[in-house]
Amino acid sequence: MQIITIAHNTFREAVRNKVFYTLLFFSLVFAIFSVSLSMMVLGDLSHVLVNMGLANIEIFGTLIAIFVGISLVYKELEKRTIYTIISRPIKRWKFILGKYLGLVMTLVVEILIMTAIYFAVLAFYGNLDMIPGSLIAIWLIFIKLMLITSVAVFFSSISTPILSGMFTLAFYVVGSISGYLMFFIEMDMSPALVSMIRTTAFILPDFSFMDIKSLVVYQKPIEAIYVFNATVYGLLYATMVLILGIQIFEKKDLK
Amino acid sequence: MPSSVLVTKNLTKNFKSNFLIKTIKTLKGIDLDVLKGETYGFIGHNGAGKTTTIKILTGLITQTSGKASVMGYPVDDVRSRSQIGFLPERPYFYEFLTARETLKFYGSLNHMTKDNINSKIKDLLSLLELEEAADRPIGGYSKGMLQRLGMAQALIHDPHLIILDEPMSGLDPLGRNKIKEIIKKLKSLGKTVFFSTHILSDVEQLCDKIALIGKGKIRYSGTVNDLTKKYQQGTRIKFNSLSENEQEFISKLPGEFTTSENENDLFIPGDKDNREILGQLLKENIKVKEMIAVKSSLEEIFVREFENMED
Repeated sequence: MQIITIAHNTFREAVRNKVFYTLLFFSLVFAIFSVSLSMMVLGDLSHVLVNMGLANIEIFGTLIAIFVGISLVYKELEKRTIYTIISRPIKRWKFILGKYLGLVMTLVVEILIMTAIYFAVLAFYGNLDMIPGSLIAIWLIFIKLMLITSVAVFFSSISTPILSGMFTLAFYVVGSISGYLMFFIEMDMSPALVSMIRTTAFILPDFSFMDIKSLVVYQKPIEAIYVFNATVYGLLYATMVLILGIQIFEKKDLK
Repeated sequence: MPSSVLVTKNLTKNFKSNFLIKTIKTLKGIDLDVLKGETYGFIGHNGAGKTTTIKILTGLITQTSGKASVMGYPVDDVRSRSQIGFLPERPYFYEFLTARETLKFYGSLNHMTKDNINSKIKDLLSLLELEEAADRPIGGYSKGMLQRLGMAQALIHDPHLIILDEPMSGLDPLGRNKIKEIIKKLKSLGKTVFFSTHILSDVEQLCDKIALIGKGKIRYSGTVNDLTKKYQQGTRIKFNSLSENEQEFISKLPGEFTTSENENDLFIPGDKDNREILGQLLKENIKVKEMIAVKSSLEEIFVREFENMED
């Protein structure tokens, strides 16, 4: 119950915050812009619509996850609103989990609004056949955003928003390219270097699992087991990052 | 004998500074014992360790060594915190919420039922004169209103122990008076109130017991009376008009006798038992107008205690 209370309050804060509406506004502008742009593109319109629509949901979701997430816990410490919360019979892990889930709820609302617009555009251009595949892609974007949010919350509980922002952004970039890390392994590399690259690739998140845009665009079959594995991978990673953040926050003196 | 509500034993806290090189010993062994129903003043200058102690009691920081418990629960057990209502110094709240929403939020964190929260909110908004502003966002509240809201959130779950960190700080006389009234009311309801302050007039008016903290150590703990007695300057006996014989008799008594047209008084320095002198005066049938203990003000005592303080 306490987790829900904290989550609900975090969600309420986000939706009463100007940043949320600003980002939502820009994402709408971007959606309109991308539709207009796609009209000028030669080739299959549906491919452009799917690419632009999914990218729009992902980019603005990531911006909300990072911008709101990095100050989520730090702001509580800086503004000292945390004093009247932690001094109540609430365990610290519940506080962090509540903050996290509150932001995830905000992302759900953002994704639902954006998805509705995206589907409306697809329907308008008669591309209803793209909707089932897009739904799966959006689900995986959501999993990816949950993972980014956990990283933002982790850094927010140990660092300032600027540093957290930099770290989370770095994490996002690394996660987007880490899938290519294995390609660097060459035949004549020393075993030590190979195992280092393998370990790094294992530790770093790999967002490429959660990017199935091309499968949707070309209407390739998306296997259920793949979606299940990518979901489990994303959720497990997010859980581990959250546990680590909670471990640090549990021992933190709230000065 | 009332039971102990708050106990600390040899509580210490060290902080690291300068990139973990230097250790600052903020608390050097704090012993406190606050009994049920007491209004307890925790007095010290800025940086003495008051807020650090309070933060340990409320679970915001962890002690380096020693023990602290509230209603028998160690302070690192969250159950101890369901017994505490805490008002931090200059409290901050979510500015996007209204006072009513804020109190609902805190009530819910204390596992209260909706009905219970709503009826408590009604009482507290009335007690703290926040009814009119109850549905306005907190962002527009004055300092006094914030402090009253702070008091309301500390009381929402009807705690046994109310911990207030500098509750009168930064308030105008009206605001201070309101907080004092509430503390008195809490006392009349049998609540235990532990508050830190450096405004000594408040202490004299409100506290049953006090602890003086300086440089991380308790320098005195006990009643205000016992402390002022320790610094008692003497006893002044005042008389109505005196005959010459009476004046002569009194002048032979120990002490300093001063006489003028309107006033006659005998000042006996130190903290002695003056019953013998009083007996002699009665035997001579000399009428005593009043007899008062001349004490140092708490302010003077405070300065003297802390001037002579060692590390």
